[in-house]
Amino acid sequence: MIEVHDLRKKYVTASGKPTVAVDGLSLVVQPGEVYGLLGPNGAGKTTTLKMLATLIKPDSGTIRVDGVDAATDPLGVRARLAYVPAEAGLPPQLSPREIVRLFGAIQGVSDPGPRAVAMLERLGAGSYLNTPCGDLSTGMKRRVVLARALIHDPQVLMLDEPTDGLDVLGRRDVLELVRGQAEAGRTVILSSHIMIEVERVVDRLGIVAHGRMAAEGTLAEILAASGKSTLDDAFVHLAHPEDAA
Amino acid sequence: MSDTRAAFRGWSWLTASMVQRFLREGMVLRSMIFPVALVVFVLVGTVGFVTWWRVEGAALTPALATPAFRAAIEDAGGMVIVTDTPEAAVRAGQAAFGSDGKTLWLDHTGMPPQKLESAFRQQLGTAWRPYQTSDMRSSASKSDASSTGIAQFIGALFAMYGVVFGAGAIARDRDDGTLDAELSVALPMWVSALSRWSAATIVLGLFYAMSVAMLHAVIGLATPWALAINGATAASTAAVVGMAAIGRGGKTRGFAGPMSAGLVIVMSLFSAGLTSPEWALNLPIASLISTEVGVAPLLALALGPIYAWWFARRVAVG
Repeated sequence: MIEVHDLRKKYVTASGKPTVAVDGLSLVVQPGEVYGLLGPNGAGKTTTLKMLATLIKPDSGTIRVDGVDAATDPLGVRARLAYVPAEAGLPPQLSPREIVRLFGAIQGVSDPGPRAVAMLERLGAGSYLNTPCGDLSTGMKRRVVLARALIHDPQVLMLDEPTDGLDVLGRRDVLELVRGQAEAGRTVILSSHIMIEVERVVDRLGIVAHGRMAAEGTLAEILAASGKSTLDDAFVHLAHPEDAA
Repeated sequence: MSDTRAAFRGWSWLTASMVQRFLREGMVLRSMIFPVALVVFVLVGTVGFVTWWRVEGAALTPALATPAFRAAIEDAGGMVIVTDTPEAAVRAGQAAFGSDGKTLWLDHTGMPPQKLESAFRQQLGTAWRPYQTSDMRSSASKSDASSTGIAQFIGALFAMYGVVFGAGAIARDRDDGTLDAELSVALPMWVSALSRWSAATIVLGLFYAMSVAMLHAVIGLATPWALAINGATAASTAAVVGMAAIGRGGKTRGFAGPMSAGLVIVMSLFSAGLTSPEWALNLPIASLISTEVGVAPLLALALGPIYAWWFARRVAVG
């Protein structure tokens, strides 16, 4: 379970200008639920996920993952979650087997080698276990990244733009894998700006604009609140009211 | 399992993985092999050229330089220099042999061929005695100085590699998401930085030690261990400099500034070694100049963990 309350983060840009990335964001994600964090580029989605993963310190606000406070026990939080960055983060010189085994080993997984192979095979990456990651397609890399994230059996899965750069088939595969994780009881939160994939996979969603939660709820609730018939229109209405007007 | 054991386990796995990545990277491997190959090529090439093509000079007094003796010397691959002062010609390095008919002056820094010596013996008979003009000890010292210089030059090259290695190990992994994935696991964040420094130290130290070993095998070094330790120290320190210089930088903030800063620091330390023997003995990178081992290696070993601590506090978490 993820509980976030009144999260705030300011940055100073390279030109010295202060920028509010996240401005009083709150949300709760239950186990077995897929939560979609939607927003235009620069809305604060990645910053929010990185704060949840304890890679960025919030200026204020609280984060609790399965009851563990991120401010006082960041290691405890990281032990319970897996963060999948938007970039694959797969060293091109290493093979999927080596990378997943490495992440299993450093997190204390017993028999990391056989478990890595089993995990990769379960996620459909068994045919390129020993191929250097530099030679893999984007879709293949996404499977490896998911295997790397799941090797230590985390309760919480956080994915930043998980279908970025994927073709239709690759996107469908990844979304099915994500849905499967929630069905296995994991808490899943993903960020995206692609409406159609969010509609298909999430249970609830939050629309973020300028670092704030513009709307939150199920798809039906969001559509009702915006008075629109599609998520695309609702998103434009809520995230870019100036464009919708 | 305790946090310390978990951190040690994480460090050892991540270090081994980074070493594996460095060694599999074609460009990196080529850059490491380049100095070793350069040393071997230059040394073997020079020795070969000198052996096969060197024309030994033979300084003779006018009375001794008869047509028959000249012909005998030229047949033996020598070149006759006629002079009233053959000893001076040999001492000045203009000739390997010189004789006035009574004394045969020899320069042992050269490699006089047997045929040339035989021609002298046949022409002069037994009415002469050999006189070695070069002092063997000073000759050896000259040779040591030049071979040590080559090793130090390669050490400076590895120090510059260290900056690139260190900066690249952080920036590249930050840009492609590897570092974020690594930092989001349940390990203290200093482990990631320490493992990168350790891997850079192992790879650079290994290849520098190979270069020194080859130099020692081919031309001999007076203090190979000191050179190897000081060179590995310099490379390790330079890796820390590179990692610290790049900070949170990467492709979004550019590489030119951090890399320039790192290289300036390395060159400044190297220059400090040239100006002061004290610094040369005890300051990492400056110690490349020294043929003894001071406290520089210990300081270098401390710098890695200090950087890792700083990384966890100031760099890793935004």
